[in-house]
Amino acid sequence: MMDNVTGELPATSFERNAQAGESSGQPAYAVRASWTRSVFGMPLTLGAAGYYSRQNWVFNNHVDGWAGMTDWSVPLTKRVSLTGEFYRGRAIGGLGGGVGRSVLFSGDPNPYAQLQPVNSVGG
Amino acid sequence: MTQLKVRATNKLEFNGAFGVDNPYAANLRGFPLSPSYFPASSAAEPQRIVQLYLSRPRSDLLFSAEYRRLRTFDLDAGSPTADQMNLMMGILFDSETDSLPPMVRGGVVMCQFHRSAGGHAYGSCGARPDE
Repeated sequence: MMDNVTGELPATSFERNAQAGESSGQPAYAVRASWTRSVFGMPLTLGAAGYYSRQNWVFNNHVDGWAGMTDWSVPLTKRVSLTGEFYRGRAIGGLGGGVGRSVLFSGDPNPYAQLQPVNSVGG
Repeated sequence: MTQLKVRATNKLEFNGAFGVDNPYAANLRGFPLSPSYFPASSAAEPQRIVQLYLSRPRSDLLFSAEYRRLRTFDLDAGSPTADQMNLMMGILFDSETDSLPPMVRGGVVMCQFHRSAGGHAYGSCGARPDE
């Protein structure tokens, strides 16, 4: 379980307001599984992970944020190794995905404005 | 981010990396306002990092020189770039020898000098305990 952050800036620095993740009333959930074996005396690791974040934006706009991730650490020789990760997600600005944005609005947030969760991919 | 690490010797290490963060352009079009009222115009942010990492000339010292090139692809606009040069020095410490709190087993104190293509320069220092 993780802090359900969404990446939005506080509306004010003088008052503490619950943001979209906290407003959902539940934490974010994440799970990762990996497989490791020794190659050239170093660990070769392949991992896969998932993430879910329920978010309650203004005017009861609910968003289900999620991400699927994979990561690898591959020794190529005794002195050369390759590491990396890849993700595909939605509304994961709190994790830095989507250039730090979880959702966008079609106009000033109001009951009639449309809300768009930001899909993103990277690694 | 994908990173290739080459350990040339026990004290010299080279790293090269490439990464991208790409919000879908289709999501950004027509939804110009973020919750914080900042325009969301960045469609992708790839970055390339070339790093020369001098690992431990002494057992408790780290030196590193790093070059980063950041490029942002704006919607229906250009793709500005930024070049960064970072010079870093780190000092490794161990709580058993330096009388630090027992919850900190060890870590690194790192000072960084940064200069960007625009001529802006700054320096900073920080500490990172071992996990």
